[in-house]
Amino acid sequence: MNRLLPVAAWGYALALYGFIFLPVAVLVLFSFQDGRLPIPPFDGPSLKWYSQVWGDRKLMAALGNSLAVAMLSSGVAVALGFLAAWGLARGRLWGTRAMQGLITAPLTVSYLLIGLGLMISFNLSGIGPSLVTVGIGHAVINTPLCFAICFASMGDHQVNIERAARDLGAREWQVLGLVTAPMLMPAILAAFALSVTFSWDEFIIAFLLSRFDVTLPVEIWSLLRSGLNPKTNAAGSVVFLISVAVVLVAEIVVARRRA
Amino acid sequence: MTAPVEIRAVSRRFGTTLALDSVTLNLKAGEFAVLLGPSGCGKTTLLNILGGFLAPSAGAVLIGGQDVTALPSARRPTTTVFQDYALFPHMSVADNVAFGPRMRGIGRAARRARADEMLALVGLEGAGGRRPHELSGGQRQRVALARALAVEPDVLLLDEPLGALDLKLRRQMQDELKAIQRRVGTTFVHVTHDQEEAMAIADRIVVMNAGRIEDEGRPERVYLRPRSRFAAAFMGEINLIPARVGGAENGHLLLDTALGPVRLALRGDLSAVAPGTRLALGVRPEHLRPDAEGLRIPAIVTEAAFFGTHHRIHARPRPAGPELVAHLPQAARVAPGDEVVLSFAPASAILLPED
Ligand SMILES: Nc1ncnc2c1ncn2[C@@H]1O[C@H](COP(=O)(O)OP(=O)(O)OP(=O)(O)O)[C@@H](O)[C@H]1O
Ligand SMILES: [Mg+2]
Repeated sequence: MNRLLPVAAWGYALALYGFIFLPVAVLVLFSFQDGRLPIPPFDGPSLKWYSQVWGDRKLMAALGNSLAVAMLSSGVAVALGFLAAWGLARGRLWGTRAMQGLITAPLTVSYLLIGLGLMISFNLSGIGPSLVTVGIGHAVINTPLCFAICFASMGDHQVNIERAARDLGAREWQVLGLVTAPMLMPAILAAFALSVTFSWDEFIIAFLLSRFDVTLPVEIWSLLRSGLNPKTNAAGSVVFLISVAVVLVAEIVVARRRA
Repeated sequence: MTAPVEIRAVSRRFGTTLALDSVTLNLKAGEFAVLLGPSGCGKTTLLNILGGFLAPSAGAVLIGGQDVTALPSARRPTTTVFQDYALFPHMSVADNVAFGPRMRGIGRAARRARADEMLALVGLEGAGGRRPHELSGGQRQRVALARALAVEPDVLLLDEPLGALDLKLRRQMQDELKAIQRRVGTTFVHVTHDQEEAMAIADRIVVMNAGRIEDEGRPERVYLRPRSRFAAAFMGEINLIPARVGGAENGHLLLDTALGPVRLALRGDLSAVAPGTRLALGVRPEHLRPDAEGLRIPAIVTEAAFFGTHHRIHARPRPAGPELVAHLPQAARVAPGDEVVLSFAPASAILLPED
């Protein structure tokens, strides 16, 4: 029994990681396919589909759009989330608990509903779909997340540190810019990186709120409609790779700041 | 720079608790004042009101003659050394110290020089490039002190700054704190609940209890002639002997105590002391000696311990009386069960209200 337990644990872990990573591994593997279909048998490896992706103007434009939307919407989301967290953690406001709940509530709402809601709202207010509306949509879904991360990192210990800054003559904006934000930089960076990855591969909202200029997931989706093709795999692999890179860079930066 | 501090009838309420009850206190410029009292007596509350972190419910605070009651902490001529140091963790030690000058718009080179000067003052020259988390507790304490002094405050507020240090370092820092205070001449208001620390550094001790000032004055005065029973007990161990006024005669008060009659020379008008009034006679352990003149108290030693500078004994008076604590000279030979005769000079005894 005792000797079986580790075996079972390992088996369980392998199955778990298998389910999570096997599809990704298969996707990446067949992006190096030398043939016309991303199905076994595998022959290759070849980089020809990657060079096709590189040469596809629409895909590359979508990639640029995705990057811009991810960076800008995450910047907005982090700024809003951080300021909300600061206000609620430090201010003596009536109904702090209720406001905290209200800000984090969208985390439980499906992206489809948020996307539809925004689409209808923009429609009613006469704002046409564009990359800006996609960015707004992504800021909407990421702000609660950034708020939650920043709020969790604001402890009572920092209250005294902010007090010390005020005591030494700092104005409120100086306290925020020179003390609070730098002190919470690990949390802010983590929130930003997470927002970027969420925005980067978000599909439904980007699909509902864009028209001519689209983000990468939407472009890949339209590629898929014309059938299976290792080029889609290559584009998907690029999306995956960049997500991984963002997370790794964030981890390294946060770890170095902690040290 | 330095300035006098005037606290006028300051009260502070938290809901139903009265943390400060009409506290009035005047501190001279350049004085080292220590607020001393048990936990929860309102020391931090008073310090926060001085620093501008908390508004009083009633009363006023004047620094250098100017009413600062309504000023926020940033605009007061005070700075604070926090108990948890509250250093900026993301800045180097030098940047921490230079923060105050920076907020006052002083240029980079000048504030660097100022930081170096302050770090030298607290004995940390050359540590400017390090981060707060790379320093020991005592070193962080020094950085916090340097940072608070870098803006040349008129009044420096210290809330149990030595509370987190071990005993030896604490005694060492006390001496340094005192030396630095003399050098810069700033008015220091220091909070502690350690009576020895208060005696070691204070020019003026302010004994607080339950939101009120029980006694305040020079350490010797507060120790030797405390004005309240609480202050007497908080400043150090004391034997309280129940007593009753027997009468008064030409400048002397006659007391019937649980240990026998005592004749106290007293200045002032004694006619107000009605015979029969119940009092307590306070005698410090070091004033109970085998060789002193005055009332002789035969007693049996129940416990004895050697403290280096003296022997501390518990003794039960015979035939009756409250158990006494006495300090006998280093050379004395005592053991439990021994008979001793203790006595005290009436002049060293303290007359206190019964309760
Ligand atoms: N923010 C607050 N809200 C409610 N009550 C408070 C608050 N701050 C202090 N008090 C109360 O006021 C009283 C005085 O507190 P204060 O912190 O001044 O005590 P202290 O003398 O500094 O004690 P310690 O030695 O434990 O630090 C206490 O009874 C405390 O419970
Ligand atoms: Mg306190």
